[in-house]
Amino acid sequence: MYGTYDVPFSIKEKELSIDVSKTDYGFLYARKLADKPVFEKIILSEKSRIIINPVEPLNHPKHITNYLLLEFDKKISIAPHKEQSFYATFPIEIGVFIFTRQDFAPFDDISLIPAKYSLYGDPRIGIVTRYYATSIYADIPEVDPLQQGVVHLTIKNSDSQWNTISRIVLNAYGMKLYFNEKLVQLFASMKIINEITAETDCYAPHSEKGFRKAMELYKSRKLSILSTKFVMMEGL
Amino acid sequence: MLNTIVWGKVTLLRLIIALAIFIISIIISKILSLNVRRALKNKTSKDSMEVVVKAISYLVIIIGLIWALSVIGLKLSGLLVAGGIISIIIGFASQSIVGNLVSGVFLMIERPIRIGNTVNIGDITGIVEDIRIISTTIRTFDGYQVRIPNEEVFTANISNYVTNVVRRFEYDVGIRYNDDADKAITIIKELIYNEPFALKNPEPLVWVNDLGDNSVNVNVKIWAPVSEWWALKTNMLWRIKKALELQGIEIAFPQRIVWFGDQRQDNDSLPIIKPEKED
Repeated sequence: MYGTYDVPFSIKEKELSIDVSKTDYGFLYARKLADKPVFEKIILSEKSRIIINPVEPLNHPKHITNYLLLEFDKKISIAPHKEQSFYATFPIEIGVFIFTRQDFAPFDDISLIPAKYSLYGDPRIGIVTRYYATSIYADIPEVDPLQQGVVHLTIKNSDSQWNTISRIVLNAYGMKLYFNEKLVQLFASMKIINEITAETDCYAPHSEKGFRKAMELYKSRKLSILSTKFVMMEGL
Repeated sequence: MLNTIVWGKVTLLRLIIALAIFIISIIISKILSLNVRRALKNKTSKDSMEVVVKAISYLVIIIGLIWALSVIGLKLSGLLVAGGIISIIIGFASQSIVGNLVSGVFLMIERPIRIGNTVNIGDITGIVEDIRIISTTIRTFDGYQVRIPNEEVFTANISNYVTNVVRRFEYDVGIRYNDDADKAITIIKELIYNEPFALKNPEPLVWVNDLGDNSVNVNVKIWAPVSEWWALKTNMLWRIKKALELQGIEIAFPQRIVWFGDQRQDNDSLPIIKPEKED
């Protein structure tokens, strides 16, 4: 489903179908997901293209946070000064962008999996996060690329004592997704400073052959980005 | 004509120049405010933006005013001397204005409320529209605007409903005594689990907290993001009721069973009431 399409076009995969048809006034975008009502939008442009790619999972059902919290099903104890990489899964949303030569804009956003939110920290100074429970894997797990992505997570314990982690909070501003038809990937790091503090960040890999970089929803909203990092200060 | 003396040594020309300076300073403050608002949009909170905008705006106007006064021969040093005497007179005459002004300054420093916050001040509940130097404006949920003097705001009990990022609400759901409370708890928990904005952490609580006169009361406590709190609170209770009824669990209502002795013949479940023996 991911790719670039000239309007009009029609695609269908599993329970999701997108149809852009010519009308008297322009084009009609119609998206049907399972048994939900059809979502329609009018495009007033003679020539435009549609890009469909995975985006940060923070917009459905409503954009209320910039942070994604991944909770691991098992706690991880990491030795002093040890660095280790593993894989975990994370939810994704399907972003639909419209563009002409002059400009592009987010057009639609689709989610195939239910969202859940959680508080990281206490009610006074904590932050609301999109919550997702994941297992951890030594190898890339098989996932549905329309629903989940795989995060390549590198954890470094820079502390001189053992530390235990059970979750990671990632800032959406730094999420760079790489995708092909079978897999959506994200690269993230976590630097443990002490037993309750860690710095997390998403980074771009040196080269990912066979993968395309997804258009970022935050970039398309033309927001000024202050930092891509997040400091977890309310426990790991 | 422009050299005509208007007052003391002040000519008409100087008066016009002073007025022009003051008007231009107001115009400059407006233009600056507009540009600062544009520059800070999406980069800072509306509240912080308004504080910066007001500070710049007042500063430009004050500079303009001092300049304009100096053009007509009123020096700042002279004003300070005169101000010492005048301020005592004004101080007595305008105690409430000064009180409001000082309270306004403290409100801006302490910041118990911010623009856009949902608050309760005294008996007024609504959204803070603006915090000015003398008064604060609240838009109530009925849609009308209330102006509260800052002194009143500062000394009143303030409840700020959106200071924290999350907020909790609760229901008491009364089910019948012959319904399975464990099943009811499972159904409610599942409903909460499937609701995105019912937070995973802090964990929701669902428990039997009271064996009432007519019902087993299940208490439900849910945390939600402060922006979604009201919408969730207003729709969750009815969804709980429908989910329970779908599984055969009904909401109890006050009832009293009254029976008479001879009704025992028609209903075996009723206890036997022995008629009192006549002596």
